[in-house]
Amino acid sequence: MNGNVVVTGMGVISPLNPDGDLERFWSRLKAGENAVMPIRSFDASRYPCRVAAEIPREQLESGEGGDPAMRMARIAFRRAIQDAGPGWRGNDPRKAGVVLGTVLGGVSCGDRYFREPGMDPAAARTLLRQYPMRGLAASLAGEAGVRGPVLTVSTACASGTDAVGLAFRKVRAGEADVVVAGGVDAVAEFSFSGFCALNALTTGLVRPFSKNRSGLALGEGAAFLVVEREAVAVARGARILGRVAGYGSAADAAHLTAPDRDGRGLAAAGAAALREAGLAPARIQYVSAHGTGTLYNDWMETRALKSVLGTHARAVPVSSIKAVLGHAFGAAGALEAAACLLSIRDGVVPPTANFEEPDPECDVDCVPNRARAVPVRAALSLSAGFGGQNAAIVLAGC
Amino acid sequence: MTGRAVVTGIGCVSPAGIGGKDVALALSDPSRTVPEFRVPDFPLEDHIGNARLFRRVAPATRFALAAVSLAVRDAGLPIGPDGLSRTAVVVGATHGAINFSTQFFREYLQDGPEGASPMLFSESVLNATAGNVAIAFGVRGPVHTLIGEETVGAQVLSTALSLLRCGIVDRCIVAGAEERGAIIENAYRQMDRATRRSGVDGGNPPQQGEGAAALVIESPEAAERRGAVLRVPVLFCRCARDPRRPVETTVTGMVGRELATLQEGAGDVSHIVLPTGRNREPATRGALRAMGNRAGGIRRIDITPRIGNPFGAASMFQMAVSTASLASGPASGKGLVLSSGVEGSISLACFGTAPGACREGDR
Repeated sequence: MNGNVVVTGMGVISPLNPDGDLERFWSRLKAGENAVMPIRSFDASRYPCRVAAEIPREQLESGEGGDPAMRMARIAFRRAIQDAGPGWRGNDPRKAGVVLGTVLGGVSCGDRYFREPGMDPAAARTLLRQYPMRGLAASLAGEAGVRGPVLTVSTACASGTDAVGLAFRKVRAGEADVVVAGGVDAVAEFSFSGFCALNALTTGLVRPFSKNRSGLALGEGAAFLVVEREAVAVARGARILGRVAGYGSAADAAHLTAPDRDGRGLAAAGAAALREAGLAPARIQYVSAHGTGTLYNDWMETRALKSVLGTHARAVPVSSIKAVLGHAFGAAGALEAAACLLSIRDGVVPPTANFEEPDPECDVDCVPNRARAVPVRAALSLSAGFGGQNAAIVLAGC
Repeated sequence: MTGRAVVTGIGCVSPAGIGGKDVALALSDPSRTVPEFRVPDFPLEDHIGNARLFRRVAPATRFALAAVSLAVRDAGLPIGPDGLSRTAVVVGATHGAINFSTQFFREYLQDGPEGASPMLFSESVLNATAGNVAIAFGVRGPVHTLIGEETVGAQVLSTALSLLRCGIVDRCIVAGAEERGAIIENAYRQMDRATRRSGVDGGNPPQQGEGAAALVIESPEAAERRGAVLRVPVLFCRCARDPRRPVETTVTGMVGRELATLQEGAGDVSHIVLPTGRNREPATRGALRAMGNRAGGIRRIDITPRIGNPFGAASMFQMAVSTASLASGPASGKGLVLSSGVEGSISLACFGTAPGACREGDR
């Protein structure tokens, strides 16, 4: 079975909208409001870098319990299905599914377990069950009454994009009529410590594509899209936000933590997504970059874009929302997919904030510091991560 | 999910041995015993040429690298970083590199940023195993890691079938890998005690095991084109979870429904590989009930005495055993692989024999 796959609902929680208000997320993103602040979720005083983009824990809805990532995921998931409107699940719960992307899952549970030796065995058991987060997707599915395919995908920082892409494939292949897909991750000392050890963190602002960029900042959040077969969505009178038109995934097969310097894997993923969407490079009006703000990622990504888009790479607006949101790992690709759909809706692309000085090696139009009105009919969203993972999706208007 | 695909290679790194089809068959041998559910130490150099690059990887990744190498070799494909074209990797896991994660937690909590090893961090992320497999075997196609219960192998197989069906790749290397860790064993011991106290029928789960199993799955056309010797068809693969109903009832329904789609029903099912995980007893009862009168004539294969419960690797081991049994058994028949998970998921995969496919004596 083939056919159009559409998005009928979106739910986002991020440091820009701790209340889960999608329009607040979008307006602050367009304004380039910086959410990277001194860390509050743990004591970072012994680290050389002390900033991240966080959602104040007290603003996460109460009464949900569990790991912060779980709470974020639930909030975004519920918003997404609410946004999709009545009847989103269809008539057959076996044709509705959930695909969740995450990098470190409930790592805060592991942190707490080790931090509090001798805790009550029942509490310890709960923490260790939540830690791998394998149960979250199933729990979300159970809550929504969904009994179709349920997957948890972990492809490092490409997880969110892969989750949307795999959902697209499942709907397109007829395995499901609707899949709620997205990603989640929370700031935790585990990941902060790891990226600090890898010398990947900035001490100041995140400046993707700037010559003076100095690294990434950790971020967090969750985003879900309701990905639905168009015929089903039309039949139930759903509001259609856009289409998932193509998906590509490719590996560098080069190094576990460093990207391929020429961006060959990312280029292959981008080219595969365009091919599946049936779009020539010139038909892409916006690129949501992986844009972490590390030296090598931004070089690699520029080369990948030139390889995929050819001469169009210099003309198309390319921006990174990680400048203000930090890098939310498993949530990043899903947050960026949501931003692409909002760009398509409003004809505005968000800026790359904190941009100062052009880097000749990153000679793309990175929409510096100010949002821009651009009629976007199709957008390419790119993600890359540890393990040489690369993923790309094409989102398009209807 | 039903896909036109065949298994062309098998690799196992298990407490009961390291090898291809022969080791998979040995896992089904009730006369074999193992002293403990641990993979014996082995030199990675015996399996991959560039082993030095991987000397610091987690145990689960070492197991996976060796298992994939055995499967790729069994499939008659080239080994090495120069690349397998039009190939994907899909790996399943439950806990991943739990020992590295544990060590990393302790390092930063005790010693602060100076004590945190970047190597431990990067090798403990959940997709490190798949990433290392891609590097070792030069796979530049899609590379996915799925996290789940003991049934995750079926999700891995479904994802691979989907990639083959879309025509994105000609073959998929699918694997499951897990390592034992004291922290996990302790957690599950407590969980099992709590389950028993609550009176829920969770069965009597075996001790945690470890290891990796890998299969090479190809489109029949690609396998035939290159003259693959082993070709065991994948007939279907289903995953389910229904928290509203007991596991036994769900399994009875699923097995009955799926067998009804096969031409011979349960008529030519030669064996069923039983679950290794939680809920294994009710799941088994459910399957046998669905097969009715035929159940008595079907060989029941229980691999837990040889490998324990290797969580994310469990169903991949079961599939390796089923395909190896079909490849060396009678010329026709089907094998069922039933898995059940710690949180109530179940899966059912079915492998067959195909006219024209080469068999044991042909190799």
